[in-house]
Order: sequence, then structure tokens, then C-alpha cells
Amino acid sequence: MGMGRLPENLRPVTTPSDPTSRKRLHGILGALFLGALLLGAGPGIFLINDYAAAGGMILGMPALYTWAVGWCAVEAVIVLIAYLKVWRHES
Amino acid sequence: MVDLGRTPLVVLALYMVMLLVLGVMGYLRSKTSEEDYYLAGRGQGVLVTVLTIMATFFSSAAMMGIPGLIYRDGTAFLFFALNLPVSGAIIYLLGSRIRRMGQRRGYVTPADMIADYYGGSRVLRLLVALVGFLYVIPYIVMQIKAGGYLAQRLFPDAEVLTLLGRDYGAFELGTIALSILTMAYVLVGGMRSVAWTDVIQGILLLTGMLVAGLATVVALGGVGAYFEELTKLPAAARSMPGVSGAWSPWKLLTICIFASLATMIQPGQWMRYYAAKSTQTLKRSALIFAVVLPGCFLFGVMVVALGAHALYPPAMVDGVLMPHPAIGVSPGEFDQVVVAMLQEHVPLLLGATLGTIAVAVILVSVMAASMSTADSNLHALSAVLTRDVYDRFVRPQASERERAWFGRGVIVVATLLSLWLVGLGKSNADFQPLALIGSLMFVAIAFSCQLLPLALDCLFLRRGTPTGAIAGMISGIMVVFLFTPFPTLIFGEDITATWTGITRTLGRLFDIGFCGFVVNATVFALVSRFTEKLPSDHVKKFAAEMES
Repeated sequence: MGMGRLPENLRPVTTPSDPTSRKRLHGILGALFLGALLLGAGPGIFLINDYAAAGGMILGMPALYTWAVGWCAVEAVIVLIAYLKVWRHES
Repeated sequence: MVDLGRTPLVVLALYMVMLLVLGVMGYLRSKTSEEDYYLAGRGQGVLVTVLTIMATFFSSAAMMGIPGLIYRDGTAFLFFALNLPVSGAIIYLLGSRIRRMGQRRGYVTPADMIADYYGGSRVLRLLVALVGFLYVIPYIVMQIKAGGYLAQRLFPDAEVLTLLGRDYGAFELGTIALSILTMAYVLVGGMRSVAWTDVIQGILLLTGMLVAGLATVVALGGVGAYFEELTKLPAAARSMPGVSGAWSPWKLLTICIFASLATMIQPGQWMRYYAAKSTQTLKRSALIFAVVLPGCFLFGVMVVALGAHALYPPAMVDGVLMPHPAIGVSPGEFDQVVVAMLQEHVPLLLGATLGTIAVAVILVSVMAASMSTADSNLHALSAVLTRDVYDRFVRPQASERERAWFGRGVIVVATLLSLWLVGLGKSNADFQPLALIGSLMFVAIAFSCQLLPLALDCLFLRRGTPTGAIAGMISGIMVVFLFTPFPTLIFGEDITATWTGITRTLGRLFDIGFCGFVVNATVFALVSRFTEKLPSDHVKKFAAEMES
């Protein structure tokens, strides 16, 4: 079944030409960004702190360093998607 | 330490001449109007906008204060970098609305817009100007101080000059040179000169950050060896809350959200949104900022600071956390980590000539970081005091020419005041407000954060009342004031002991600006509920212009 035949509410948000889809995508990206902040710089650090204190490494780097770099990259990618899919189409 | 000889002096001289040339070019292109002096005719394109926003954002804190905190505390403070994409997003989300209204209604300062929305409130205009002042002065002080530190490092054998019974060593001469030069090109060319010099300074700064990180990794034997070295960090430096115990996740989270917002709505940045050519300019600037800056931070200066922690670990001396003697000799000298590391390792790595030139260029980029923030803040303060105070309350009948001269006078007085405060801090070790660049930065940002509830209400919510806004701001400013050492200096330790205990606890848990924001926003909302609303047609008209 082609994408065009899916009901409106089930279609993936890939064409942000109409304001409603853009608004929805903006909301989703905003929530993801907040989630990245909570996990990256907020209480999410507790998930890895003990491992980091014990000298744990991720990808050959100290765990906390990788954690910070990773979540920062996630935030930057979200901003990039927001620019490409939402902001660019706003007047 | 490797002797850099006269190379830094030559590089510094070239850099300073280039700034002055740009200052004069800005002057030649300028028109006589106030709007041109403060906003460069509202026509700045993407390159200038993004680099001037970055350069204003990256103060001496970026090259000294923040690496200093990472050197002191280890990986815990790395999470500060997560505020950079937040700040980038703010450039578009808030900046585009601010720009649109500025363009339509001819606003120049933040207070122009806020006071206009809240029915032309004169009290509110003064409060917004006060917040601008409270943000700008510590920030200028911080930049000038960094110039002094840098001069001390670059010219350790400089002779002490005695003038009118006072001694002027490398620190004092460095602060004076940075202040005078910055003041000169801001005075001459206004926003155009500031923005153009920011372009050069921004490029220097970004390059300097990355080269510094690269040099450190190479000096330690490559990427693998660098991270191997980091495994030797003590447990406290590898985890939260860091060696000094200062960084809880909640504190870092509130810094990443509220300090970012506060920094991006401080007067200098706010005026850059007005000055942008179009919304498209701000969209692109937001993207570049959010993607480029975290890379420069995480793979640049932060790498240097962490490497330094592994090589030259700080140690407790008589109960006080002190930098390694190779970095500094007092708790206030953690800030010198990038400078000390580069001076030590780069010449050994690249050879005497090339290494010395590279170090000199990177050290000049540290100076660029300071100057690019000092110039923007001086320029913004001039606009704020001229338009929001002098023009409204002192001499409303003043001509544009008179206002321009008053604005230039503000720049001179603010520079001299900041220079005097730096001298006071240097000569009095007990004068704690000037102790560490990093802590000074958070106090300044906290004051700016008190503009946030009003900005959010004015740009998005539009439910507040003028009385609510005034009550909220006064409460927020007072709360932030309680976090500074000033209440103890003014009222004495006995009277303020309880407050100091509370603020210390809160300050350990959260960002100071966030604490002020919570009180500010709560008071704003409560008072707005019971006080006279703005006329609905005024609010609707404002909203329509903003949304269209």
C-alpha cells in the first residue's frame, strides 16, 4: 500500500507544507529537545554517574564525557531538523 | 614555561591595528542617525549577525572562566555545553519576534519594546534599564580583568611603571590597553564597528578554541593517549558533582535553560535581533550557532581543561582547592588554565618559531573573546542609558546629536568605572565580588534572567499587567541581589547570616537566575491576576503585528 493511501492521521510528518503539520512537528521536536536536556544535563546523569565514577568508559572515552557529547549532538540535530522541516517553511 | 619573546607583542600590535582600521571603516560607512549608530541601519546579513552574536556570547568566560571551572571540577561542568544548542534555538524562537516588532515600531533597546507593550510604563522602562546595567557592568569588568590576566601571562617580565605614585605592572597595563582600544572603536563607529570587529574576533575565537584543543591532544600523544590520560582522573573529577562538589544535575539543568535564555535576551543580543536584516538571517544564524559552537567547546577548550586536570591536578592546600603551581598560585587562577597549557605545550610541539606564533595567535584570540563581549556590552549600555534614561527622564528635548554625545560619554564613563572596579578587586583580596570570572558571570546572567518573564509574556502569552510586571521584576532583582556578597558587605555578617545560609543552599542546588525567575514569575502572575489589565485592543494590535 502506498503512503498516499494511509489515513491522514497515520501519515508520517514528512511534508511540513501545511501549518498544522508544522506545528505538530514543532511540538514533537520541542518535547524531544526537552527530553535530551533532562537526560543530558539533568537528572538523567544519575543513570550513568556511578559507572562514570568507577572509571567506566563509553566508546573509548570517559563515560560522562561521552554522555555530554552525545546529548549535545542530539540537541544540535533536533535544531537542524527544526530548521529544515519547520523554520524554513515559516514566513 | 617557554619564553615567547616579542612575538606576542607583534601579533597583538597587528591585531589592534586591524581593529582600529575596522573601527574607522565602520565610521566612514555610518550615517549620523541614532538608529544607524546603535543598529547599523537594521541591515546586518547572516555572516555578520551570527559571528557578532557568537562573539558577544563568547566572552572571556569561554576561554578562561568556563575552562577554569572544568579544570577545577573535572567532567561535571562539561554539561554546561548543552546550553549552546538551547541558545541557538532562542536566536530564532525569540529573536525573530523581537526583530519583527523592532522593525515595525522602530525599537532600539529592550525597554523600548517592553515599556511600549506595557502601556508606556516609565517605571518598567527604568527597571529594564537597571537590569541591563546590572548585567553589563559585571560583564565588562570580567572582560577587562581577563585582559589583565592575559597580559600578565604574555609579558611576565614587563617592567613596572610608576605614574603619579601608583605602580602599573603587566596586569594593570593589560587592563588599560584592552579598555582603551575597545572604547575607541565603539566610540568611533557604533554598532557597525562593533559587529565588523566581532566578525574578525569571532573567527579568531572559533579557530583559537579548536586549535587549542587539537594542540592539547597532540601534545598528549594523540586521541588514544589523551583519553588514556583521562582515565587517570580521580573519581571526583570523572563524576558529578565534581571536585568542589558544586555541580548538581538540577543546577546544571537550570543553568542550561535559564542562563541560556538570560544570556540571549541581554541588551547586547536583543539589539542584535533588531539589527538583523531579515527573519531568514536569524533562522540561519540560529542553526549555525547551535551546530558549530558545541563542537568548538566540546572538542576545543574543554579538551584543554580536562587534559590539564589530568596533567596538572588541582590539590587541596590547607582546606582550600588550589590550582597546580604550573597553572596558577591562587584559587582565583584556575581561569588561566588554557593560557598556561598552551604556553607550556604548543611551542614544544610545533617548534620554537611556529609554536610561538601559534601560541601568540591563540592568546590573542582569548583577548578577542574579551574585547568582543566588552564592546557589545559597552555599546548596549550606551543605548540603554541614552534612550531609556537620558532621553526619557533627564532631557526629553535633547537633539539627536546631543543624545549621540551623551551615549559616547556613557561609553567612556562605563569603561573607567569598570577599570576602577578591576583595580579595586586586584588591590583588595577580600573584595570577593571580583574573585573568579566564572562566578561573576553567573551573577550578571542572573540579573538578565529577570527580564525573562516579561519577555515571554510580551512575546507569547500576553496576559500580564504593568503592575504585575513591575512587582515581579523588583522581586526577582532583590532575590538575585541576596545571592551576591553585597548584602553581607552592606549589612554585616550577623544580620545576613540566615539569608546567607538559605541562598548558599539554594545556590548549590539551582542556577541563581532560576531562583530569581521563580519568585519573579510567581509575583508577576499573582499581581497580574488582581490588577488592571492592558486594553484588549492594544494587546490584540500588538499580537497581530507580532504574528503577521
